[in-house]
Amino acid sequence: MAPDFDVAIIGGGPAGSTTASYLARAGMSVVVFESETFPRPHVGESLVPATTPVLVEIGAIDKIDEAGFPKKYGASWSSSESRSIPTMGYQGLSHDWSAEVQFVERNQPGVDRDYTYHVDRGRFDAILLRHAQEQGATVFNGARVLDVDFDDRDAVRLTVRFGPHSTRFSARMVVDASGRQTMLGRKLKVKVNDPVFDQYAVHTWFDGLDRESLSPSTAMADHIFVHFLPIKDTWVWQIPITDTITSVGVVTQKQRFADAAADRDAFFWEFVSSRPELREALTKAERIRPFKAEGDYSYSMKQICGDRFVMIGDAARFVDPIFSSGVSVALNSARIASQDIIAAGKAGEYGKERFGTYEDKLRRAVKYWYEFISIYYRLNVLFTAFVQDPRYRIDVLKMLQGDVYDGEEPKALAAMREVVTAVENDPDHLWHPYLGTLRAPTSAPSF
Amino acid sequence: MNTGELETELLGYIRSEFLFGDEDEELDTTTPLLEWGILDSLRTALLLGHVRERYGVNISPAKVQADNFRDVRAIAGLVRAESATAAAGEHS
Repeated sequence: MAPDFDVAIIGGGPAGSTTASYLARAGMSVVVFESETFPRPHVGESLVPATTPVLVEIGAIDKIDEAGFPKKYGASWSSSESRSIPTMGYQGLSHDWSAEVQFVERNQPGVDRDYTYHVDRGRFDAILLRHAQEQGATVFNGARVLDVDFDDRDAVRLTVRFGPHSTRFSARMVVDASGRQTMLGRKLKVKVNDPVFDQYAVHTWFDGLDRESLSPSTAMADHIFVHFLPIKDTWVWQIPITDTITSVGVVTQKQRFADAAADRDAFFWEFVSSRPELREALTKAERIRPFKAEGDYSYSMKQICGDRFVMIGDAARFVDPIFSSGVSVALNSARIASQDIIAAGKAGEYGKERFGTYEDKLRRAVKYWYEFISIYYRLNVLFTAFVQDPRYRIDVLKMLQGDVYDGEEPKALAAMREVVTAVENDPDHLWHPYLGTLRAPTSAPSF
Repeated sequence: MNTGELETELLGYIRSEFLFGDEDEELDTTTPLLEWGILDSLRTALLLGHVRERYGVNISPAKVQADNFRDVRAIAGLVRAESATAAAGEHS
C-alpha cells in the first residue's frame, strides 16, 4: 500500500512551512504536523536579507510585506567600553557607537530590496504556515508527533497525538523541523551540546520604549541594536516589533546567570543596569509580557540527514543568535533541502546519498557562520575595526546579510583569524586584555 | 605633510572625537593616552579607521601595541613609518 504522503514534516515553524511550500509547489504530497495551535509566541524576531530570496521563491513575500512588519534597513552595535575606564578629569565621551551597517551598501544576489523585517513571530509564522496550506500542503495544528519509526523499508511510520487520541501516518520520508525540540536529534542520539556557547537568554516585550533616545540618529532607530554590556560576553538585543513595541533580551553565559542567583526579573534588571541610559529608557516603558528564558543554548548534530530523513532549521543546529541568523537558517536550509527532496522524489529513492548537496552546503555555511560568531565574541573590537575598513566592510556585510550558503569562504574571515592569533600571542597588544572568555574550538560543525 | 602638522591634526582629531573639544587644550603630543584612559580598545580601532581615511595609510591591527599608541608623538611616528613602508612596497 502506498504511504499516506510523500513527505511528513514535523513542525510548522518557518523551516517546516517553507519546506512544505517548496514541496507542494513542486507537486509532492506533504503533511505538516504542528504541535501547537498558531499563532503562538516565539523568540527570534529579527530577520536578515538572506530570507528574501526564499520568501520570493515560495511566493510569500507579498503577504509578508503587506503584514506591515517594521522594516529593517540595518544593524547597529553600541558599546559601553568607554564608560568603564577612568578618564582623569576628561569627561563626556562621545563615541559609544561601535559600528553600524546598512544592507543597501552591498548588492545581494536575489535580494530586490534594501530592507528585511523585524517580525512578531506569532504572526509571521502563522502567515507562512497558512501559505503552505494554500500551496497544497496538508497542515495539522495541535498534532504532536510522538514517535517516528524507520523500521519498515517501504514507509516511515509516525505516531501523532491529537488531543486524547493517537493516530498513525505513513510517508516516504520525514523532515524534522521541530526546532529546538530537536525531535529526531534526540531520538537518534546525534545531538551534541556546544561546550563553548553555553549561553542563556532572558527576554520580554516592552511597550513605549523610546528607541530614538537610544539611537545616534532617527534613521537608525528601527535598526536592530546590539548593546554590549560592560560584562564579558554579555549583550542586549533591542528589536522593534511594532511602532511602539520592542523586544528586549539579555544574553550571557549560563554560569553568570547561575552566579547571580537571582530570578529572571532581578537578573534582567541587574544586568541592564550596567548601562544606565538603557535602564533609564526601559524603566520608562511598560513591560507587556512575562520574562521568558532560553537555556541549553547552542548545539549541533553529528548527522543532519540519513536514509529517509533530513533535519532543517533549529532542528539541525543552533548557534548563538548574535547576528539574527535563526529564521535565515530555517528558510535557507528549507530551500536547499527541498531541492534535494524534490530530486529524490523524482528518482523515487530517499537514501542518505540523495541529501548530499544539502549536507555539504549547510556544513560550509555553518562553519563560516560559527567562526564569524566565535571571533566576534573572542575579540569584539575587531568587528568594529573590520566593519569600518573599506577592504573588509562589504565582506563582513555579506556575512551579516546571511549570504553564506554559496561561494567561497569570506576573505574577511581569514584576515580576522590572523589578527586574533596575533593579539592572543602578544600580551603587549592593546586589545589583549579585551579577549573574551569564549574560545571556540576549530571543530564547528560536527556532521 | 611634516611630522609637526601630522601631530597637530591627530591632536585635533582626538580632542574633537574623544574629548568633546578639550577647550583648555590640556592634551599635547606627550600626554600619556593610555594611562589617562583617553584611548581604549574601541578608540584605537576608530583611530585606525581615521588614519586610513585621512592619510590613506593602512595600519595593521596587529600593530595596536602600547609602544605605538603611548602618545600622539608615537602614533604620528607609526603613521609615518607605515606610510613609508607602503610607499617602498609600491616602488619595489
